[in-house]
Amino acid sequence: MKKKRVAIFSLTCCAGCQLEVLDNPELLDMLEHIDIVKFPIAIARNEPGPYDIVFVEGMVTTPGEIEIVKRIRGSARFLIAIGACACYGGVPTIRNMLPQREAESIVYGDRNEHIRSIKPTGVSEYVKADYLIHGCPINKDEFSQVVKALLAGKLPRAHTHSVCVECKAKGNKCLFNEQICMGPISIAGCGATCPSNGLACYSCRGPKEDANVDEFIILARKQGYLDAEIRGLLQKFACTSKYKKYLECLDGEK
Amino acid sequence: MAVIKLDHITKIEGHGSLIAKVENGFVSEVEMRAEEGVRFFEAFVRGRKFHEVPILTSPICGICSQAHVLASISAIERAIGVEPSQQTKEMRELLNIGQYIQSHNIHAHFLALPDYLGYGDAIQMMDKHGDAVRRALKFKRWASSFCTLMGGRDMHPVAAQVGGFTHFPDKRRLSEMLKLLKELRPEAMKVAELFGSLQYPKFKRKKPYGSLSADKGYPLISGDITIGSMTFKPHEYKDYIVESIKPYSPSKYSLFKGESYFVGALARVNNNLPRLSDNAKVAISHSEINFPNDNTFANNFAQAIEIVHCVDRAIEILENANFKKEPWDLKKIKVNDGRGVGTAEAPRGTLYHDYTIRKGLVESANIITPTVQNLNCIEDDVKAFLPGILEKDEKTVTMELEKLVRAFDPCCSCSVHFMKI
Repeated sequence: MKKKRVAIFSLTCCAGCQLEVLDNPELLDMLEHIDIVKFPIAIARNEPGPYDIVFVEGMVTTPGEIEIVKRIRGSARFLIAIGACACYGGVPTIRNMLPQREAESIVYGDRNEHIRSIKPTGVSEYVKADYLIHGCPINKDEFSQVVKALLAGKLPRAHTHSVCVECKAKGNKCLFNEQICMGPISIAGCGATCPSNGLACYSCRGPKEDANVDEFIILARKQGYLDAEIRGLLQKFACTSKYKKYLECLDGEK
Repeated sequence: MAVIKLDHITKIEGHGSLIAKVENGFVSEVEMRAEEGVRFFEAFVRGRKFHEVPILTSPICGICSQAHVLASISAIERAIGVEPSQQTKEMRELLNIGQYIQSHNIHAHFLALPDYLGYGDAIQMMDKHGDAVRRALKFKRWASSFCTLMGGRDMHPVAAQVGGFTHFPDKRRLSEMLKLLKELRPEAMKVAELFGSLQYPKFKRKKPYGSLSADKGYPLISGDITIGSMTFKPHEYKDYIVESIKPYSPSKYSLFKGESYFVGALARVNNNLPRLSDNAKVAISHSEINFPNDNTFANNFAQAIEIVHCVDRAIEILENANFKKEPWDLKKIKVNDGRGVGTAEAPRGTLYHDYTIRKGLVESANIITPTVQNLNCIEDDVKAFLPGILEKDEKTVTMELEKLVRAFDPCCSCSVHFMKI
């Protein structure tokens, strides 16, 4: 069977998700079924499309990057966003909540005319992504599962449960009342890495589909968190996700 | 006039391009550009809680995330007046060493080595150089497991926090890792042998070398700063290092007293030679390459030497380690107002994080990454190196320039993070 033609594109990011792909223990096995023709951090090859599968890491934060994702979409059978940046813009979306004038005065001052920067978002703002692999960074096992599903010619099934389920499955001590854990509203797939290491989940993966954010806010208020603090909890890695409408409501001190 | 353009150089971290203009055999202009978008880290951490800073700044870089976490923690602790326990310091040193072995190994074998053996990538090297690649994979696997064990995750570690650690490595897992590392010690010497015997281009340019320095031990997290012949305290950095903006790139470029300077493994080895481990010194003696050294390409060998040193240092710490649970409780951390400058030697050079904390929140932040410090040096090195290879064919000139850029182990994502008022 002919190998699938795979490309990895990297937009503005820390390149960590590319490194997670490079570090995947199953990469050499995968190479028996896929031909990676573009992988900037690892190989010199840089072939143009069409591609069977494209993995995109990084946020869209320049006009040039909008053109790149549109071009990729046109040349890829499957476009998979990898990592928090490609899914929801990543941690720099924290600044998206600032009114534009205020953001400009802090960050641009009176110089930097050559900086062409737009509010960072994930790729889905501009093109349809066939699947999102969440997390900062992505989880190696999850990446492997996605590749296997695609090799079988289908899209992987998205997780419908929360990080809580993975945490309970590991028998972890629940941190919700100690450190206000975002596990209950965050999409599963990481194996509850942070709570397993004694740190409450901070939702680098973003919300699960039917996350009960309203209830999370009520419980956080009961624990004594001010609305400005609750906004801080939701305003981290996935500010352009469905958390966005809550960030707008929680504006202002209460 | 001829223009040499290396567009979106592969096998470096992030997006970088090099443009050199040549007139009558003379290099008139060199631009080393980061082609990333700007992410504004120092802007969006303003107003955030002090303990969120490590998690928010770790994603500046995927390959040296541990360095950002350690430097930001050090800065915040100095700002708010928290002194970490001796055990915490040792665990942080181990986390840093795990990062070194991971990062140097990846850079040396996967990013740099293919050039010297005539391949496009390490996977293509498997047939003829399988031993070297498999050795690299063994180190990568060990380092990844060790970083996960110490930091909770192999990238963007979460267990290391302001005040201490949220998780403590299982004793049995630690002894397993120690046993595996001892088996890897002779392999580290082979890595040094390989990189000590590669045919590097002949090049020499005198320049100041910047790194942490200390009287005892090979400093990778804290110490004074030495650049050239000057030594100063971390909080004095602004008196010596000046950052500027150039119109052709969104990254910052820094100078030391008006001069470009080098940070990274070569700088650390040049500045701290006597404090390397015995095996590291032996590895140097087996090569024709000596230190102090002014050939930028020797940075690749310096990284291999540091792998040997780090293996030795990790074994030294692990053999005597007895980590007890020191529970971390955010609510018990006493938070004063203040400013703190924290440092860490990321694998590719000195990293500075500078925070002012007021009422537990970040009032202002400044971050200087290694590659910001190396960009001017790359340009000056290219200006000096290029004339000597101009008569060669285009393919060779491109390859030699790529080798030079890769020798810096540049991290373009790190160099574009900034905010400037």
